[in-house]
Amino acid sequence: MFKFLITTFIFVNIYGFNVNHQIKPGADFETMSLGNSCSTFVGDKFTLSCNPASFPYYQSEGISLSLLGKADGDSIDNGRDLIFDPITEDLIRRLFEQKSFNSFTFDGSIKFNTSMFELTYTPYYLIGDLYIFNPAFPEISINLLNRETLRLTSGDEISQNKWGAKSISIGYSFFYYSHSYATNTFSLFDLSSKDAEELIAFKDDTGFDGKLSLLYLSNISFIPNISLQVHNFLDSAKFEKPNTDITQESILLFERYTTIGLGKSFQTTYGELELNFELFFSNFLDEFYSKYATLGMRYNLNLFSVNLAGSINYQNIGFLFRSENFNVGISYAREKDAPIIQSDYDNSTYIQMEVSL
Amino acid sequence: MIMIRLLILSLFLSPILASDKAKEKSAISFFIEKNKQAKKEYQFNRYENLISGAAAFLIGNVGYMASDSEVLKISYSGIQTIGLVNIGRAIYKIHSPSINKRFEKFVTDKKVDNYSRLDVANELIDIYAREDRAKRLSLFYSSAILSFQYYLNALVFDTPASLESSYLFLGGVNTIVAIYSALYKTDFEKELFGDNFDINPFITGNKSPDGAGLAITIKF
Repeated sequence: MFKFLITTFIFVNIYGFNVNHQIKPGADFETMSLGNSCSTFVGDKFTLSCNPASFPYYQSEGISLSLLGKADGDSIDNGRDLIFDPITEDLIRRLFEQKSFNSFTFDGSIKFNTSMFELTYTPYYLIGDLYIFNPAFPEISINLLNRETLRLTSGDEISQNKWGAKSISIGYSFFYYSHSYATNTFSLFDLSSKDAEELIAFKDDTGFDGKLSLLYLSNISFIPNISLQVHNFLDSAKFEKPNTDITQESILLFERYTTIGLGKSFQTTYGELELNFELFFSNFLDEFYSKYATLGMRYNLNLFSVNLAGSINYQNIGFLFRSENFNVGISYAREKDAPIIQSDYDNSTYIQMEVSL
Repeated sequence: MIMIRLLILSLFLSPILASDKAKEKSAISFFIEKNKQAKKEYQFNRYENLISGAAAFLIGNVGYMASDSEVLKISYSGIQTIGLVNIGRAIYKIHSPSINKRFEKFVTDKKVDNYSRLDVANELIDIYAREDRAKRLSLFYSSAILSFQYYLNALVFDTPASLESSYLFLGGVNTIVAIYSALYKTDFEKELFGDNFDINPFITGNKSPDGAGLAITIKF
């Protein structure tokens, strides 16, 4: 409680803070459990959501349905209640008694794979973040979003055996989105005098955006595989900020940002070990986000894989088990989604269930 | 499966029926070429299904016992199921004849110029019987261990009451499937291996002279 009071006191005057969600729209279990540090990995289905330029190295055909979300942890029940239950004063008071920051993310996607492209329909990508501060006069900062996306992903090999590369490829992923969101900060007492719908008014927006990527697969042992990606290159999603003291904003999610990945893989008869180090930058390599730099490691034995991710604010171990038509992934994370307001790590469990046809 | 059988049948019969040697050679080389082009699933080693299955079984059970949340218990139960299904799949792979390899050997054996109708029929019976046995054993072992696992979840482990009846139901269904697959044999299996009760996973029934094993059979 003491830590919470100090945190609240220090940051109460901050205008905005960022929240990082490890589950991105249309994400796979591996992408999330590797902390989105997997852009140089090739030869598996999930690599497409890491980097569209990996498309030429793995092509499958079929339909799969996947559900991925936080399933257990310190803030899961609170986040879920926040999204699915009516927001009342009682609910907010209950959340306030338990925790100052609650976060929930969920993704449900259907993927249609062909030898030419991958089509992903994400009917539900949900975010529910709630920050309660100022214990003397409780205030609530809220960020809710429900996004629907239709995404087309593909890639091509552009060169072989040139410039020390085994192969160089490009990738592209274009998507149409439609989302409704609500961001606001209000006093707990406002809930007594006003309707929740008035305080949490959802705004709708639609748009078109995409991701462009380049992948260099090295043929030289001491040179790593390298990837360069520009996410949301049109930067089309604009969110209206409320005119309040504190606002929260998602980072590395809907805005334009660039990533550089460096990686290497080692194949043995006992399985494959892959390493990737992902660097994140704002806009077109404008500002380096050192705190989000992530090391991802994966041990893969086709039907079983272990994923590890490590960064300053996110550590994770995940296990994925596959059979012919059904996959289950479970991962345990220690994370600070909003490090500026969180003094302690959250312990979370993420689960994915996937059915392939 | 029907397509594979038709393809095998047509390719088997073509050298017998066709008098033209050129046509015969062309059919054989066509098959060999197609066989080479067939996409092969990459494997790190031949035991990877068993290793993955055992890892899923182990982690599934430890996770199931250690977790309190119902959602997590269901997820770990899914992992247990995947593990046991993969063990069944490994048994299938050990026993299943590689149809393409078998046929390639059949048509490229330089010691034989022509096969009689009896040779072709025997070869087909052998392939179908082994394939049927591999499927039956795979189904028997995965269902039998799954039913044991579900009974364990329902009756021994700390399981929420709402899930207990589901596990008992799944255990019952798998018990029925296991009993059926232990007792039922296809005609091809009976023809090659006999009508005995046979659930031995260590006997591959390989005809090769350097094969070894121990058969435990019960005759009714």
